[in-house]
Amino acid sequence: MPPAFASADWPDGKGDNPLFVPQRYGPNNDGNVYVPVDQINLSALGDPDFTGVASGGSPGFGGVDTGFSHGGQVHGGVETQPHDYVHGLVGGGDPTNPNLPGLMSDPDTAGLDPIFWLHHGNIDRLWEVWRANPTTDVDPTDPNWLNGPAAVGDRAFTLPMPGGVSWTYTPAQMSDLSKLEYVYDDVSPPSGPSPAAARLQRLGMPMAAAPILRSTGMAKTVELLGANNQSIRLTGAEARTSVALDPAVQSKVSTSLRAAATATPGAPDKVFLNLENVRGANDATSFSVYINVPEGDDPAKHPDHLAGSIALFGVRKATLANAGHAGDGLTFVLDISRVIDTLHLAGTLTANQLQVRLVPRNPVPEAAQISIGRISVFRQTA
Amino acid sequence: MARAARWPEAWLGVLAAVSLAAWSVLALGGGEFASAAFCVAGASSPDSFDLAMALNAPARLASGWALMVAAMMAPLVVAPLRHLRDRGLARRRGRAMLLFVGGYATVWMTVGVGLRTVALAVRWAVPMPLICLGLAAAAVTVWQVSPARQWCLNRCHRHPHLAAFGMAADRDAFHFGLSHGAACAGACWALMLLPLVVGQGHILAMLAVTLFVFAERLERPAPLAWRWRGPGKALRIAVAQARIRLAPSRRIREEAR
Repeated sequence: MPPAFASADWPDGKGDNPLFVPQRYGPNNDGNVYVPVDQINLSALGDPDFTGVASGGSPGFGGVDTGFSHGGQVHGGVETQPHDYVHGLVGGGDPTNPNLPGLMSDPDTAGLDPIFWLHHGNIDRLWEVWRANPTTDVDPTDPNWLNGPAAVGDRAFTLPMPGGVSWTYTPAQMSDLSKLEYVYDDVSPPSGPSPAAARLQRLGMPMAAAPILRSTGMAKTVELLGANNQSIRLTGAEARTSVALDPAVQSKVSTSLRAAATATPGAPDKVFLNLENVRGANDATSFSVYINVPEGDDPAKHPDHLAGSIALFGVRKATLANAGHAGDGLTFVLDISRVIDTLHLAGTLTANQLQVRLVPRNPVPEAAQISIGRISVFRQTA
Repeated sequence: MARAARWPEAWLGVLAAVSLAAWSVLALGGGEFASAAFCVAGASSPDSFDLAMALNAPARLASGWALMVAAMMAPLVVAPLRHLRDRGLARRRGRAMLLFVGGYATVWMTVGVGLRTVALAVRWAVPMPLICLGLAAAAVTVWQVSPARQWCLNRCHRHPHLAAFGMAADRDAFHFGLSHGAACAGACWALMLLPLVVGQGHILAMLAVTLFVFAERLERPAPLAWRWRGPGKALRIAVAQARIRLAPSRRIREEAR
């Protein structure tokens, strides 16, 4: 965290730093604020589609079409990581009160912490990084998106400005930073080969034969591959469940992965883990999801089995029955294609089951009442 | 961009066909509205009551009500059916949708018994059609603005998690139909009285109620309160869409600004 935010005092004063707030508890709830980078990922930058689907497949870089709802059930790609997770890591929770999150941890209070603006400045920068591939990574051209929430009957985006005036703006006006009179120092993409090409190489396709697989804008097929059979309560140090896979659908996935190794035209299936109907009373809850860690092993020693890390930013309001989510909670989508590839290459994907472990960053108190309605897995054709 | 398939999905076509077929039968005079003649006649003698009972045999009432439910509710169950299809195994989609519809219809047919009885009683006790309609409208208005209705409306938006395999999947699909039907019936029982007590013009009343409820479904779940609820968002969308479609040059200017 930038030092200017860390102290309550300016160099020449006492308790006068407006950038400091005491309700910023950090990832260990002890006031030491930092972001453990091994739990942050920028995989959303590899998604060529801005708009995803709410049916269990990729939620897209920008999210699914909810009519500009702040209360959408499925969180989008960059929204989940790194946006939600940094909110949860920086805000943390009050160590003396199990259901009192830090300001950054809850959507209703996050904007009260000045560091919110730096965080969202970075999210905006990541949007610019994503747009650096203009041939494939393009913003939606749907008039409803370009014209903002007012096009679908909701309140327009409005920013209060100095002097008591307001600026009402639309996404169409956000497409060109030069017209907005600001730029970022660094909008270079993550280094290395494209995630799609790296995946094909991992699956055995020679690099020379690996096509550039980006969005063609064609409809994608998404179907359920499997699910667990009961809700989970997440308390204490860990929760586990077994996700049963439908043999016929699993066979389709395996076939597509084998086809990648033989340079057969067509991209291999992508596989997504969904945590559906996540409910709870404390947004300052974050955890990592692991798949098929050997029994008895410490999951932290198996980063190749890490599906992703999630912070439950917004879960409290989403659990309220008489608010925007009707009590359905939140649904998070993790791209687990890499993990599935690993299992496939090891020959262990035929077991018709995935063992899922949820490992909280800090022990989850019973009072947080965190539950997950269903954990499911979906396949998506490219 | 992951766009929807170019052609509408087949199940939507089936739903539309069922609805249109039901509307057609009702519009052509089929179904249950023989009692409309009783209401218009305005008589309340024992002979008329016997005639009313003969004209309103339970089977006729049930079939007419079923047609009303099929016609009016089909557009309103698209969202829960889509959730069912998205979150279930592809090979079970047809079965899951039928189970949902079974649960949903069970609720509405049961509620229909009560509503038909109330409507007949009102029209028997108050033969004047305008007063019939006025009483129904009063009930609708009070219910429409009540927090209890908002409670039901909120539950119409629920998308619960569903088991994927076996009997549990069947149970959850049927239960989803029951719970969604209960929420819908709770929200709209008063509105459904309107076409039942209207004499002439019941098809128009059905159409008006259908459009109203469809527009109201666009609103998001909200806190419980006494307040007017209506198609405000639908009207805002209509105005905004008209502006966008009729003034594309404005969008281009905004993009270039």
